[in-house]
Amino acid sequence: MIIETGREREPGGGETARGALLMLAAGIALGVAWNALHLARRPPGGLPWVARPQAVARLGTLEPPAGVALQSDTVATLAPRPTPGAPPRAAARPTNPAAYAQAATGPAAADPAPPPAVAAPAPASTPPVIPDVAGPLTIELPAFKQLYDANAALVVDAREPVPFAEGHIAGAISLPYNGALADPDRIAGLEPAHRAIVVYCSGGKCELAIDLAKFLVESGKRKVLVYQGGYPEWQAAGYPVARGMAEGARP
Amino acid sequence: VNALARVVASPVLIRPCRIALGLVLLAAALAKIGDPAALATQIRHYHMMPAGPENLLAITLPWIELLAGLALVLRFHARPGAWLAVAMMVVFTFAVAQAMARGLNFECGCFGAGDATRVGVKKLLENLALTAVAMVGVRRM
Repeated sequence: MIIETGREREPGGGETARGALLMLAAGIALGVAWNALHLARRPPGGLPWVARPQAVARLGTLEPPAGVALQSDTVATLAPRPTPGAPPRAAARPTNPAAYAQAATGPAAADPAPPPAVAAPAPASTPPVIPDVAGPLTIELPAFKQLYDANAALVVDAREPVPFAEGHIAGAISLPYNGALADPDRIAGLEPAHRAIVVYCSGGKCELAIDLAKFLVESGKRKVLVYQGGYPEWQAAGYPVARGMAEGARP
Repeated sequence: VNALARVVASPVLIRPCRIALGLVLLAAALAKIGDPAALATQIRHYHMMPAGPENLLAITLPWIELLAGLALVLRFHARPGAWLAVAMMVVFTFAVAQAMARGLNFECGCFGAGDATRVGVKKLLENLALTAVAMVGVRRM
């Protein structure tokens, strides 16, 4: 029986499925074409076709030899600058020289952007604390604590305001990743003293901190470090924490 | 039940559902289309796929949303558009659910970097509702 409805019904399943697939293919083609266009521009925009792995080179753990009191050491003596290409100082960490080499060469490989004017290597007699390389490095708790105690780093909390208020590393400033993207002025005003910047979040893989650190580097900041242990590890170690939204307050 | 079925099947309901769905998709597409890098970052936050294809998804997803949204709003091949919308909403809903199940807490990135809605119950309900709307939209009329 044919029902006269006065208008044609929409096509059935087969044709609809074909239409949906076509639409999908057209969307993919448009996106790829658009990105190809942007990649071809000078300077290139767009995204690389395949994402690079989220690898951040490690700064050497910088642990002092056993038996050396932490507080009596200055950070500089514990963190010799790994000059790219030069062998690491054997006396600094005889057990694991590869860590320094990795710290020196890793970020260049991990960072897709060409290093913007890497500072000339400092004379060997005055080793800087943190290698001034393009791309963030990760830092472990002992080394971070030394920086912290020497007040040699700006500590940045990449988490949202709520967890920040519930507890953060004492002295940290709150800079949520998504808020940072929206506020370039604040980024530009960060750390004019050119101390190291240590970014942390809630531990684990710590995407927020890594992403924020990369963003800071892209914004022209140097000596950006990611403390991947994050707040949980810091707190568990019994180091100073603070509550509330007040920033920068240290005991 | 019969009456309800007839209402769900009637163009009076299907048409506004498709238009609304189309508008949401258009808004989502336009918010994301200009900044695939930010979208790739957001996709990475979901931990759903290996890092390699994330960029490809970020490059193409807004365009698929755009085409489906246009089809729905302009009523040009609207039904295939609604099918695509259902497929996308199911995937999005699953993405939010798995992120919640793993205790991840981040912005969903659904409407670009300016959208501060976090992955959570509200987002999940929103996605479920949109999935329902899309399911009405795929009805033949």
